[in-house]
Amino acid sequence: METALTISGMALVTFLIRFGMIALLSRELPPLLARWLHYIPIAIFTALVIPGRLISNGTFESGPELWAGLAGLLVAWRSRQVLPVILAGMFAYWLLCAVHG
Amino acid sequence: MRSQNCAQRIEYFRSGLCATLPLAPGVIAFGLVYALGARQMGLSPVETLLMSLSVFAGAAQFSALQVWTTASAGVIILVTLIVNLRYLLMSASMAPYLQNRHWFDKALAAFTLSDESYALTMPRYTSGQGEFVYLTGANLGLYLQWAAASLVGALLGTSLPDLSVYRLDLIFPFAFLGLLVPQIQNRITLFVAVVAGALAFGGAMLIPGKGYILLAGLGASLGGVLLERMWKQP
Repeated sequence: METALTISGMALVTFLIRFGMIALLSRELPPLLARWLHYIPIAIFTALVIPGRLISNGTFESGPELWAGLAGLLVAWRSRQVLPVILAGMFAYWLLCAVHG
Repeated sequence: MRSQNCAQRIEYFRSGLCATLPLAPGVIAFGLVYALGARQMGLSPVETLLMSLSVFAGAAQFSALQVWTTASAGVIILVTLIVNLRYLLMSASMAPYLQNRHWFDKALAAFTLSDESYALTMPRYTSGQGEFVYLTGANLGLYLQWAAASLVGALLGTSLPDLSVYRLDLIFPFAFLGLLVPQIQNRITLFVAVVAGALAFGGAMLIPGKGYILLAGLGASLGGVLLERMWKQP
């Protein structure tokens, strides 16, 4: 029962956070707000690119992740498609790990 | 005319669904790890699956499990809230494109919003090619992957092989990279990306959890508006 209530609470707050702004911003927006919202995706995408494990316990670890990321960046710049970036990045990572031992 | 319109909608739905396929190994691996963790924390298979179906937020579910046995229900819900705060920003930026939809559609889009579907869909919306059925297809694809992985993980438990050595979680940053780069089309968007990268990097060093996404999302987008204003002034 306790578990069911906790899960229900988690589901409720998650839905409210996701729905709140969509419900609130349901009319024509002021231009300045619209321009601000326009730049949010790029900012969020960039933040999502930085994987949590690249930085652990407050220290930056330059390992295979970083070099594979640079390989992915090059492929993204040339191909402008998602799948080649995933494939190149993952294979670069596995290759670097295999070489490093 | 009507049937042509219908065929096109099915095509958009299908392409939204298919766009999630490259992400599937990452989603499924993460879902299996979540379900194993949930079982180890004492959740039943049904509870493990129900959390995935009702919360549908991988990072938040994972964070809740970290404190599951040590914290009260209130603290667990608070952790969920904090980890999900970034969705305030994402849903706010998606809101203008959902304005003319029915309330049910808005609620459905909100319930199934995720980092991955946001990343797949927003480039289409911002370039004027956004389609609600595409968004729904992408959301459904990710929801099914997450639910299936949670179910399999909950049922099989520890008899699953350990996939962590393959680091399938790296699929996500690579996918976001592939979606980000074509978005950078002028000096302002480049500026926003560079500032966001710096803020995310600094934030990840200093703030625990996913707070760095919120910091970078807020800070860099505000910077972009300011720069745009400054350049427009004579």
